[in-house]
Amino acid sequence: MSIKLVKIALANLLRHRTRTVLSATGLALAIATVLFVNVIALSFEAGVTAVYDYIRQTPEGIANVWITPTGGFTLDADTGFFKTPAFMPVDEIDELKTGVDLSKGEVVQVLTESLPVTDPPLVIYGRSDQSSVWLSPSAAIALNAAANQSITLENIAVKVDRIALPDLGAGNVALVPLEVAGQILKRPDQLSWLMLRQEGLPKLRRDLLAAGLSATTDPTVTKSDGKAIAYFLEGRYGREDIVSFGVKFAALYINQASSTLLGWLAKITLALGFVLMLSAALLSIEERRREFGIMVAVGVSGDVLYLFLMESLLLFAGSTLIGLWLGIILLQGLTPELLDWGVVMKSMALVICYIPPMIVFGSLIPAQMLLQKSPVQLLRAA
Amino acid sequence: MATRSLRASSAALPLPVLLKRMVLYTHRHIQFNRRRSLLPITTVAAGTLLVYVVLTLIEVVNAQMAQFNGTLSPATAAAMGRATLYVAIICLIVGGLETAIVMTRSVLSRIQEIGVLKATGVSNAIVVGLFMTEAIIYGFLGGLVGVIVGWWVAAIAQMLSGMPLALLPVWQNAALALLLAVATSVVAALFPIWRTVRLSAIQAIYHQF
Repeated sequence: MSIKLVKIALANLLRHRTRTVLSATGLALAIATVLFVNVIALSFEAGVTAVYDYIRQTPEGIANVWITPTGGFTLDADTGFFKTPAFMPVDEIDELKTGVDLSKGEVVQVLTESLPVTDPPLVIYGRSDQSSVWLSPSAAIALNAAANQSITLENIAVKVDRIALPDLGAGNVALVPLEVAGQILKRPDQLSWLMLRQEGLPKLRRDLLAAGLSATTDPTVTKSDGKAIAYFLEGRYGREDIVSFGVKFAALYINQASSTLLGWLAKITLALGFVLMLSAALLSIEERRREFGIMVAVGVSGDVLYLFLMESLLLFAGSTLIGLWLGIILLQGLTPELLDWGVVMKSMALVICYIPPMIVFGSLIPAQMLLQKSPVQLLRAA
Repeated sequence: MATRSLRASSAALPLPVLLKRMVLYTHRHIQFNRRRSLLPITTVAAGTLLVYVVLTLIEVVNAQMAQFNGTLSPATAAAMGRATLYVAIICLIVGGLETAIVMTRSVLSRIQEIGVLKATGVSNAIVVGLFMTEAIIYGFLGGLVGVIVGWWVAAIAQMLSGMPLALLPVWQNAALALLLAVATSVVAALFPIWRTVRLSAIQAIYHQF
């Protein structure tokens, strides 16, 4: 039965080719626009927190504790990279290690500061797990450097091994071994922060508290009594912790981005896209008043509803596919830099959410209303 | 009545009288098909709203994005700058295309009516004129609604995003959006009408959309 219904619906759509093409184009254009605008707004939001995802990477996974000196961390407006207002001596870490068991996982020591040698300033990002010097493409251009060549930074000759860093929040980044960073930045035996990937977090937290550190999941906490602050990036501790660090961090920066005009423009487009699609769907019912009238007059009203719903379903599904494809083509052609599939999937899911309300408000309810009228009314109005 | 008055030696009628009768015919048509007329007007309004909002906000969007330059890499910031321009261009094109599609559908779904008009002796020029009048009215009404609602939407969006409301070049954009709505409606309606009036009355009456 249902296969027959699909066949009839398909034949009906093909018979009125002009009408089908025009409805489908109207729907697809609305969907493509919504997808395009939303992907751009969402990539803007995602771009704002890309650095956070980047710095959490450890050789074997993603860090779950971030220990910074008192003063916490901030996002540097000039470079877009994280920085700490203070540095901690390596001795402090050694001291920490005596009281706290850090053997169940990884510890990455980081020293970072920006140098005004390029515009925007060059971020020297020293990590203890890094053994060679990598430059971001924009830093390589700004420093006129190539792979396997030496450059001089603050009178220190450094051999560049690779020009390969992801494009993230910060433009000019030099990822270097920790000791090299200490030499360049003239901060030997100092650290900006520690990234830990450890097991047994509750015990670690107790140990850190016992060692006199502040432990928190709130990125806005930047003050502690002299000692370092341990940010727990995953999980929640205590009753007052309702959401995790990541969520709070995202709220702090993403909300700023999504409440921008671009964010609002995306929401407006989302609503307008729905209005455009709904009026396209309603128009295709109005265009078929006469057909409905004849069907009702010969007494096939029940089947007409199913047939019409099947037609609408096919039309919506087809135009959604075309619209999504068109949107992706536009994104690929116009802004390939922003094409992040995670973001695209999110926007696509948003657009697909349109289909159920479209079927209810754009075809089920209006078709049902029409079928309840007498055939005379329907035929006269047409 | 309107059809009869259009048919009666229409070539000899002075232009103002002819125009008045065309408007009367369209008015009657809208009056009898209120629901059906509402949909093209809504679509034109939504398209115009999109165009108006984008025209009005794009500069402010760019200004606000510049505030985020610290947290975005130069490459991403440049891409975002270009992307907002593309958003504006695509919204303009889509707003226009949606208007064009709905006007085409509106004309095509009334081919039989064109056949009847022709069969009763109304000349091609007057049929074209009738549908042009309708396109202008739809374009103008839809455009007006779109601009008025768009003004509020743009103002509210700007308020919510914390940007100052001052210095909106509202009138220029409103005029441009309205003009675009009317022009797109007329141009979009022209092609299907032109194709249809060349059919004979019988062909038009039997034509199925």
